[in-house]
Parts: sequence; structure tokens; C-alpha cells
Amino acid sequence: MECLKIKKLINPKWFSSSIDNIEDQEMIGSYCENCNKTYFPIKRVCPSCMTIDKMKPRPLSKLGKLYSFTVGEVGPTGFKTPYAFGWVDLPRDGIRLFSLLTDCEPFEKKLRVDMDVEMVIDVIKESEEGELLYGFKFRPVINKRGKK
Amino acid sequence: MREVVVLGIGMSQFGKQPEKGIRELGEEALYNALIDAEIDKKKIQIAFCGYVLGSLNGQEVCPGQIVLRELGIGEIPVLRVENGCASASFAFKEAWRAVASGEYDVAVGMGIEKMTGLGKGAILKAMGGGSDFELEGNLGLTFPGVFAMIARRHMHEYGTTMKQLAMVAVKNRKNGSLNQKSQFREVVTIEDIENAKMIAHPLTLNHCCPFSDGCAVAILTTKEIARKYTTEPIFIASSVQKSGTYTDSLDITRFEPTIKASAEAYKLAGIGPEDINLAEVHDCFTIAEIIHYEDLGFCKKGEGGMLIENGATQIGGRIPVSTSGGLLSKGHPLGATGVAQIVEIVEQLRGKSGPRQVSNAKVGLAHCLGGFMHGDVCSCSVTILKK
Repeated sequence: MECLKIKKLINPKWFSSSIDNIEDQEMIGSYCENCNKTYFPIKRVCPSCMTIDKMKPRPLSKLGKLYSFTVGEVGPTGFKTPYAFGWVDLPRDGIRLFSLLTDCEPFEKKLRVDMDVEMVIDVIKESEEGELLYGFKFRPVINKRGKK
Repeated sequence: MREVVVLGIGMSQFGKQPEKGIRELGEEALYNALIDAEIDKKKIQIAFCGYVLGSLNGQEVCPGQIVLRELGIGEIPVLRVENGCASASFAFKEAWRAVASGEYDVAVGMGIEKMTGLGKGAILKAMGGGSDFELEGNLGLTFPGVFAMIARRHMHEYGTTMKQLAMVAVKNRKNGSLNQKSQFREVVTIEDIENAKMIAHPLTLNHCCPFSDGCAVAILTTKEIARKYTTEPIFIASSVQKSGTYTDSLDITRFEPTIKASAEAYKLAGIGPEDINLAEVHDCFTIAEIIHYEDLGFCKKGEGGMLIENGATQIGGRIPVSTSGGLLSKGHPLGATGVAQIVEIVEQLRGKSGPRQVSNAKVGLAHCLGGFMHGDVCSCSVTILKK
């Protein structure tokens, strides 16, 4: 009955307003044209150079490196355990994101520190009203032959 | 600034105490502190009270007033201090500032927390508010998860082992077994720790501090006033607080706020890490204590695992750490922990710690952390006390 559930973005301000299909969404950050730094989520003022008129929206890089990870056997309300999460560095953008990890079972074999990961748009959790809340997750990079 | 001393200390029992609310926990600790200080309650001129999870148990505002009223103390200014798990450390520092500045002569720094009965899921969600909730807590981050990721990275960088992590819990449980106020009183083995329920890989339940109820109180005054009450006041040599930088690409195997706060605290006290006789550190998880050894300068970066393994941080070792049992054994009532650490250091420096006494203790250090977001600590406190 999954298909009957309402799909929602967990936080609309993180995403592109011009993309309708939720699975095709992109994460939007702010790029400072004055000092070349990227921020997420979107900021009005660049905290590095304090300019306000050079901050432009820009999709985040989808390629990351897994800085560290764990699998939680307990979790806050709304999360089905066990669930994997980690800190992911985006080398192009110079930012680190906390993120859920997916397509990584068994994690002992599939995950390792500093491995390449890629962003996907997927369900983060279910709301108290039963809606599916979508956001970004990362998964091990799948090479061209389809092997992980 | 005037020289400030700790005149009196008091603690409630720590642990799961379903029959007690903050009223009873607070009364117990405050009464003990007043008796210990041998001072008339009318002399207290201001109080600062650390408290974190008020929104979950109904008493969201004025916890300090609730406790002081139990012993008929009113009229004076009372402030709530909220700074995550370091709330009481910051309350203690504000009590110091009130006396050091000359505005007040006698001040209370205290902290309290009631966690039993709030529900595990609700506490985990509320503690997600100790991170950047929008970007971390709301996406599933938990504190055991944070320290599990830190542990994995520390093991990756420095070869620290799960056995070394477990040894921290074994040591602190042993210390806690010697402390009547401790939540856990039974010793555990490395096997017990390995076989406990998994919480966040690779950390099992015994790598994590428990949920606790408790209160701790310190009464501060000037050196001159203290002379009327005691011949053995404990001096606050320095107390330094910091927050994080939260920059991307931080090395999570070290906590920069601890490094900076301790460097300043050592300088102000005119000593170095080699002069510390004992320390209470923020051992919320086993890996945390190992990192604190390194950040506080008790060993070189990356050698924290070896320091626990060679026994240096046991009672009787070169630098005993978490002699009270620490957060891992004594318990971690969030808003009370920072002052509970002060209670332990003061007792040790007075030579009143019984079976867990560190011999010839003259200088002690208390280190507390609160909140964690974007790979960095939100609040950090380092206080050095001396005889």
C-alpha cells in the first residue's frame, strides 16, 4: 500500500522549486561568487566575507566521501532500526553533511571510511501523519558494470 | 577580580529514582551543601541553576526557585542556565563571576535533572535538540551515533582498539563501585561490555552513560569570608569556557574547544597538565574519555588508547581520571553533571574520598562538554581547583 502514501519533501527550502518529480529533486546550496565558498542550506549572507549580494543558489555536488559512519540500533521516534548514517564530505563544495546511508547492507562489507558515495533522493522517515518525508541520502557508488 | 573559593558542596543520590522529582533531588543536594559549608542560608545572595530537559517534565521554567524554596530561600536573584550537558559547569562559572566581580559575596552554582519516566524515544528526540536539529537531529542523528562515528574514525586514524575503549568503562565502573552516590555500584568485565546490547555500532550499551536523576550544589565565596568557616577552602585557580567553530572538514578525533579551554586554564592557573593530580572528564561515551586524555595534554595525540591500557588513569596511576565513576558509572543527569564533577574534585582535594582517595591530591581538573553539531562541541568548560 506504499503507493497510496503521500510524498512530501522533509524541508522544501532545501530543494529546487522548479523540479516536480520528487525522486528527481536536487539539493540547493548557496555559492558565494565573492569568495567561492558553498553553504548548505541556502544562506542570505556569506559568513566568510559578509557579502549579501553575491550569494547564488547552486545545486550541491552529488559525489561525496564517507568520513565516518555507524548503524544505529536505537533511534528517535519515526526511524525504523537498524539504520545507517554517517558524515559525508562533498569535495567539490567543501562541505560536510550528516546523512542517512542506503543500499549498504551488510554494512560491515559495504561501508568503509573514506569510500566514494553518491547522493540519492529517498525517504528519510515517516511523519506522525503517515506521510513519506523525502530528503537526501548517500549510497556506495555503483560503477558502470552495476557492481558495488 | 577577587579570589574565589568553594566553601561547600552537596549532592543527591544519582541514579533512577522514580519516587523523586526535582523538588526532592534538589532539596537533598542543597541541604547537604549548606551543612557542608556550615553557613547560614541567609548569607546566600545569588544562585545559578543548570537544567536541560524541563520541557519534557513540565517544570520548564524556574527550577532553581523550586529547589531554593524547599529550604526557605527566596528573594535573591535566581537564574536558570541552559547549555546542554555542560549547563552546570556554566552555572558554576557564573557563580564564580558573581563573587569574583565583587558584586556578591556568597553565590550558589548548581544543576539538576530528572530523566526517569520521560520515555527513551522522547529523550532521544529531545537530545537531538543538542545537535543542529533541522540538519541532524531531525534526520536521525543520535548522540550514541555521533560518538560511534568518532570512535570509528579514531580507530581508523590511530589504531585505537575496542578493548581499549572497553577498559575505560571497566575502570569507571570500578571507581563507581567505591562511590555511594554512584548510579552503578557493580564492577564489570571487558566481556560484559562486549556482550551488552548494541546501541550504535561499534558501541554497546556499556560504552554509553545512562539516563539519571540527580542534583549537585556548590557554594562559592571569597577567600576572606571562607576563613570564618573553614581552615581548608578549595581555591578556583581558573575556569575557562568555549564553544565550537563548526567549520566543515573538522578532524572529529579531537575537540578543539577542549584544547583551547584547557590551554587557557593551565596558563591562568600557572601550571601545566603534568601538575594535575586527578581529573573528572566528560566521559559520556568510552571513546570520549580517550580523546579527552589527548586534548587535555595527559598524553600525545593518538596515544589515549595506550594511556588507559597501561593503567595511568586508574586510581593509583600517574593521572587518575573519573575517580567518581564518571558519567559512565556515577550517572549523567544532564544539567547536574558539571557541578557533580566539582563535588568530586573538592572531596578529593580535602582528602575525604575514602576508598577511592587519590593520595596527595593537591590540584584537580573538571572538564565538561555540552551539545554537538557539525562535528564540533557547542559548549566546553575546564575548571582547575587547588588546595
